[in-house]
Amino acid sequence: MRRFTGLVTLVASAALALTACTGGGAAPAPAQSSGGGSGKLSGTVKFQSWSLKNETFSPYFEALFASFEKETGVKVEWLDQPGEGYQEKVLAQANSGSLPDVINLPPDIAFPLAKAGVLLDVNAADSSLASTFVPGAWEAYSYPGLTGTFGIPWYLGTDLSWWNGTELKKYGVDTDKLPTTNEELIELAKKVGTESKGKLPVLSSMPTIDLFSSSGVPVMNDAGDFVFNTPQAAAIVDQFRDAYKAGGVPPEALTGDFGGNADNFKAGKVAYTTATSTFATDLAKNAPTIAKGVIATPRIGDAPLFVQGVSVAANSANKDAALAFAKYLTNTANQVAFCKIAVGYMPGTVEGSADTASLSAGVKDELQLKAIGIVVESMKTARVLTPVQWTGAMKTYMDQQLALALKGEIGSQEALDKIVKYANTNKVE
Amino acid sequence: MKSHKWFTPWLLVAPGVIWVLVFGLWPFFNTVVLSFTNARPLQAGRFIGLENYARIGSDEQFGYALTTSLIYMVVCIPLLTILPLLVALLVEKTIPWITFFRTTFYFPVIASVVVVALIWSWLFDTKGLINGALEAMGVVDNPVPFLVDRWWLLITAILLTVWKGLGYYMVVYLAALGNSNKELHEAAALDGAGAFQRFLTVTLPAVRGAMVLIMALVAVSALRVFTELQVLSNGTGGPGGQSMSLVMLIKTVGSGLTGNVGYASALSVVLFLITALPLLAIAWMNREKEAKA
Repeated sequence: MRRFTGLVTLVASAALALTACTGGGAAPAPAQSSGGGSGKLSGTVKFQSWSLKNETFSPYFEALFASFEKETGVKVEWLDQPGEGYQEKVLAQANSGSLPDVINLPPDIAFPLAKAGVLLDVNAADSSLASTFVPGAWEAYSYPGLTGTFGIPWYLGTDLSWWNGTELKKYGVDTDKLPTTNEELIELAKKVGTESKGKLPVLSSMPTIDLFSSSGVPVMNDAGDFVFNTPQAAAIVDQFRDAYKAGGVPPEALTGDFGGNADNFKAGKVAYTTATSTFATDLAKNAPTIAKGVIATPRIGDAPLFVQGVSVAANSANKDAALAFAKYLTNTANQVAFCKIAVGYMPGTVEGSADTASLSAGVKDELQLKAIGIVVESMKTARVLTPVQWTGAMKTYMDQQLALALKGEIGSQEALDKIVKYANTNKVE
Repeated sequence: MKSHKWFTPWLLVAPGVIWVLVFGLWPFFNTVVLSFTNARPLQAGRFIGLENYARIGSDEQFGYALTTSLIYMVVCIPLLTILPLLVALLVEKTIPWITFFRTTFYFPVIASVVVVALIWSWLFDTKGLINGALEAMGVVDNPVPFLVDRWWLLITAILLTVWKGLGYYMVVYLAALGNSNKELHEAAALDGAGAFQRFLTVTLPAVRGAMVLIMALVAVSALRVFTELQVLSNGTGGPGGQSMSLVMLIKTVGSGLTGNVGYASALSVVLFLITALPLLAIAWMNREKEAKA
């Protein structure tokens, strides 16, 4: 009986430990936003960046903090978080009420924080800001169901299409007439997959919500429901399935395990990828042989707009200074100076984004110069393709269902219907 | 002699009690409470009764995850109960180089499961070493979809678990065998019992306690399997999420800034019950045998 009791205790202990892994808790009370304040600034503000403390960017930030302190008397305490696990880190900070005063947040991460009331409405704090920034970037921090704007655009980016011209020519592809629509791209993948017997995949990932969005498929309706289970989207998945069968998409793409597109492109394992303009220098440094035959073209379909910005914690103890620093960090002069180091990115202010000549100053690599030119052009029409309501769990579910569709185990329309149903059921209200 | 103060025993047990309360009981009860809410990170949520539990019943992903976890347990229990015993019997003998062999069998245990799973994912890739060898030998014409097919993915993960756990349970059996009565073996041999008969009548009863313990441990760890499937399927649970385990499902549902903490908590409570059942069954069976003995 004693052994039985012991085992029961073991069971209980193991199971307790097992089930003690979920979090959750009460949200901090939303703080009232305040005005910019007109009093004299003082004290210290904590600024958190996302993987920017390195030999490239550190000198820029240190100089910026020094000049801000000289102008305002406010010291900046710099925290930098590693690239991996940023969301979790921010969540832990928000849960414990210890968000830094100024925090680097892209719109999708800022969204749940704004909903929880832990970010300052910067538009309410300073209504003159809105006209300063590129409209698409500014609007990226306004969310459905919330009044206000919860971040200030810092720098913007988009990506391009990169083609391994040398390899594609081997399979009869005319590199002067590369695809300009997603349909043509998938068709090319099918053709090259068939002719290379799967040795040269063109696509190395499954359809994404970005792909649907950039192909003109409506992703959400005005009521805030996901609606991309259209015949047009199903046709794209059908086409993808045919390309997969032909070897134009590697099997590992079904679990997203084919590695990064760009890495595979550099290794010569895939003939197409999307990447930012800095990919040119990466290629020149790490894959010089492949770089010789690489062609850069505008992103197929609508170009995506990547927005990085800074938000101010609603419960900041030094709110006026925090807002002042956020505005200082994102003013035109500082954004332009930053984008000269972060080559390929563009300032988020209207004035800064017009100053395109300075963005390529000092760049000598021809391919990169061409890529920067494409970025500047693409930014005119780039837009945020992924809605902020699209969560990680939804993406995982989409990957799972589309994998079945590509394998032919379920129909494309059925897969899309299931994904849309799942997304609408699990929407963050 | 000075007598103890009345609170001395309480002081002595306090660290343990506080530890259990803070890291065991409180999170558990918090999980149970959250399972009746629609809580999300940064949102306390409101009471929604049994809604989360009702949802589990119609959740296709839960069905897949439960199937995967149960298959994992049903396959791993016999494999990790019997194979380590056989290996322990082999390496129990004192022969030259036996320490080398024991270390070799134990070696996978000390390797990080994440690193091992990553190496296995490279090995079992469609262009990996295993498929390359199979194709070169003419065993298959096309690569075997080890990592992109529901059942192959499950088989690969189970193989990894067995390979990695073999050495650990071997050591448990070695300890049990070391304590067994050698004279019984000699007596049985003198009575004419063959090797297999001695195994059944002497060795097995000697290691029965260890066997029950191993079955219990394997049942718990198999139901909680996560890393192997997570790494081999790159976190997707394979096509359709059909090779997702219960813990993977809980992680997928509950993590991130927009995770559904309420539903993930309900899944955790269900996993608690599912984990407890086979263990109680094993404990009950063992109790009956002890009573008969």
